Amino acid sequence: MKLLKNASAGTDNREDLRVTVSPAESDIQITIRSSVGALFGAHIEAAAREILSDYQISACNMEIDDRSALDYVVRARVETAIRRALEV
Amino acid sequence: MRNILFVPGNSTKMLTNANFLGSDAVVIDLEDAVAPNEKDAARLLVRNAIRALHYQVKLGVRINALDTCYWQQDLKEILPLAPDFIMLPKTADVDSIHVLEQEVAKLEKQYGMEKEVKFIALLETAKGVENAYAIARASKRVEALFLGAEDLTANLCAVRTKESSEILYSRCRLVSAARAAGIDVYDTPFTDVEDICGLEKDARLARQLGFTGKASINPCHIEGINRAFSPSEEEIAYSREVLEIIEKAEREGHGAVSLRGKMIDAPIMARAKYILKLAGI
Amino acid sequence: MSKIAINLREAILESGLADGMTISFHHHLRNGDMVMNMVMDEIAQMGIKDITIHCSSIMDVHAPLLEHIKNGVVTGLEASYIGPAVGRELSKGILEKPVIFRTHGGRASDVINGKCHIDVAFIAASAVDREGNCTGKIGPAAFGGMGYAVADAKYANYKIAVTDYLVEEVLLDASIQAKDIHKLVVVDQIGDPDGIVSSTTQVTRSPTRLKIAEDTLKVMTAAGYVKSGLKFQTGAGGVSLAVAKYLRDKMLKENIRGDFCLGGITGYMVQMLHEGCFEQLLDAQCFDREAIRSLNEDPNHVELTSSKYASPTDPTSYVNELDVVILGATEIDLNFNVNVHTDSYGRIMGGSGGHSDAAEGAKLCIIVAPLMRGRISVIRDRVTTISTPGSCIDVLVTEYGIAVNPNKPELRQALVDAGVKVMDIEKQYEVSLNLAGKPAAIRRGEKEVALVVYRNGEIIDRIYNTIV
Repeated sequence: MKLLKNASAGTDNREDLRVTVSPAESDIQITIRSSVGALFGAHIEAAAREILSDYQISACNMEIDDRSALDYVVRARVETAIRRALEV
Repeated sequence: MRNILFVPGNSTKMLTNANFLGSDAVVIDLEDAVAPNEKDAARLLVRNAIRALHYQVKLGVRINALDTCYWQQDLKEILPLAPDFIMLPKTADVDSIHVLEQEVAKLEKQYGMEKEVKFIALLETAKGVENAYAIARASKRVEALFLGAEDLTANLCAVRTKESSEILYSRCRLVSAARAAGIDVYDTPFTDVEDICGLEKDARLARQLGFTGKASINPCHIEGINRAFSPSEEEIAYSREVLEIIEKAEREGHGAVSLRGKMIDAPIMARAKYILKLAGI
Repeated sequence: MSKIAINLREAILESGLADGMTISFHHHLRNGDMVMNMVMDEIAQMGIKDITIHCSSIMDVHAPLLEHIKNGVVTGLEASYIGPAVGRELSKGILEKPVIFRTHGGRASDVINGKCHIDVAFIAASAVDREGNCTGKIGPAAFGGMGYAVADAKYANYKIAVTDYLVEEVLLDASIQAKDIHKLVVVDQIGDPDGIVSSTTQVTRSPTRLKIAEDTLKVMTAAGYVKSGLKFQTGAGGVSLAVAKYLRDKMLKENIRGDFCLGGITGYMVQMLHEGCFEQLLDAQCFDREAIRSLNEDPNHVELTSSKYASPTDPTSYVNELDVVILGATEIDLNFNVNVHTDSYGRIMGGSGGHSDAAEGAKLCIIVAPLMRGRISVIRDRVTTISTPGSCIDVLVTEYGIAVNPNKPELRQALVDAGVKVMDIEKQYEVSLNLAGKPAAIRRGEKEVALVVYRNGEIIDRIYNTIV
């Protein structure tokens, strides 16, 4: 599937994150800024890639600004942003 | 349930901690707590939260009202997680329950769900209050009525006060309807977060009127509500005595029994059993 | 010669302070302290170098030390606690010699038995008389007891009292006697009152923290300690204070009178003393104005030296009499080892203080902490730094549940018998892994930046530099 537009989801609150996605040409680029990046950066990226894969998206630019959100929150926000970007 | 705590469906912190807020039940709110442009985000957050957090408390979800474009999508995302109950806001009549039930039954079949989800009807309009008894009996799934005084007083063109006589009739009507239908009934939340004394007074009044329990919008109200709705030491002791004396009478083959000069008849025995059940004995 | 020096420089010159020596300070002025920075500035200006600072605690207000470290004025540090402002920089390896961490009790013991030699002790006092009798109980920068300074006053080579309040009448109720003071310096200000005392701490309103506190009281009760004669210690803020509140409510309801409340004292404990919950407050340091006032006025509020409080070599020290202590943790592992020295990134941000002392001494040691602070779990498979060994830690209470150390099967049984639900630490750890995933291991460097010296004098752990 191809992303149709830019979209974002989430908040700047503690224990939450903001995700922004935008269409890209050929591959997946994920940039993560996180207050717990050294500890969980890899997990956050893995979760994001999993959800992109679930939605069969092979090209997108994603930016994540994380404030120590739990895994279920990361996944919810990423999925929301993707769904929004798939809507016309 | 002595208390039901409302948790906003878009608050990551409160969703994560819902197990530890001290309430018997939690209602995750997808309706008033969530802005229209965040309904989609809240749905997914709540879905993920329920999956990840293994809530130990009794769990309900307040979906959006039937006159919105959100409620069906709410059900589609949330129902497969088998919450204990769905709370339907602005329930005005029997038709509302039937429409909800039809949609829920369809989804339950689609997802192959075994357990039937229950409903709590939130009555917050004059029409809802008047139709309370019919709503209570509209479906086996309806397990309780719940009074929403803020929207109700607006609908009544009344003035909402702490003293609350403007909702007295509605409170009594709901209690009467629910008890007649054999289901539970929950009182409206107390909205002044800081006024714990006022909250306790309001909760005691609700208990006095016959409510099963009371909703709250802030965890700091739970203790006061519990105090009002938990039986006192004296009530528990008395109830124990009542049951003991009845058991003794049955063993010895006596008929009528009395305790401290008062005849112990069926209603008193039923109340004693209810008290001990509330006390978890 | 007059005991009163003209100024700080004269006192330092008199002391014979030279390159390579060790000086000491106490931390009763906490984050309001101005004395250490003032003294270090003077020492630097005098061209003295290679100094080791031996302070009971180094607080964030002492960040100017970093400049002195850079310039070679300070080349060694020994403390029971180092706050993050200084600690994080130390973790980068800015000192050649590793920092020596002790416990409060261990420090006192080592000063008294000579393992720690102090050349010059700078003793801040909020009021001093012309003879050199010192107190912390009165004066514009009053801070309460001086327990952390007493060992220094007796055993250091040369002792300089620093005050901003010289009194004419002889101080009868002095914490440190004139005979132990060589020189006395009067400065403009020894401390900022707002940094010295915290405003009255409120009991937390966070529902998860209240739940932890409630469960902690259940543990104490089921273990049989909430009764007459209770000897108790808890912390000053957050969950620890909430535990005090629930304890107080129960003690008042059931007419229970405890023997003493030990350690850092807050206004809440003063209230409990007045209400008859305890016979005495045994004070290692005062945290707020109520505590200072009470220490001044109430004979049942008693000042302790840090040796009498927690020395590992004094069997009569009060930590050994404790029934229950409530402590915190940045990390705890599956063996119940506790870390209070470093954060999840391995950076120094604390220290034992009295943690190990009280944990080892008390019959029941309960760690209270939220399981999750954001995405970071308090439970690790192995702690980054061992501050207090698991053998001293009996219970962990988080919002998720109560875990009992397997080395205390009778305690576990007592809880189960009392209907208190137990959730093993492994299960709680699993919950945190499910919610957050396992945190990546932080790469650490090869340079030892600190040694953690336990109560028995042995090095219990080493802290290495962080690679940011």
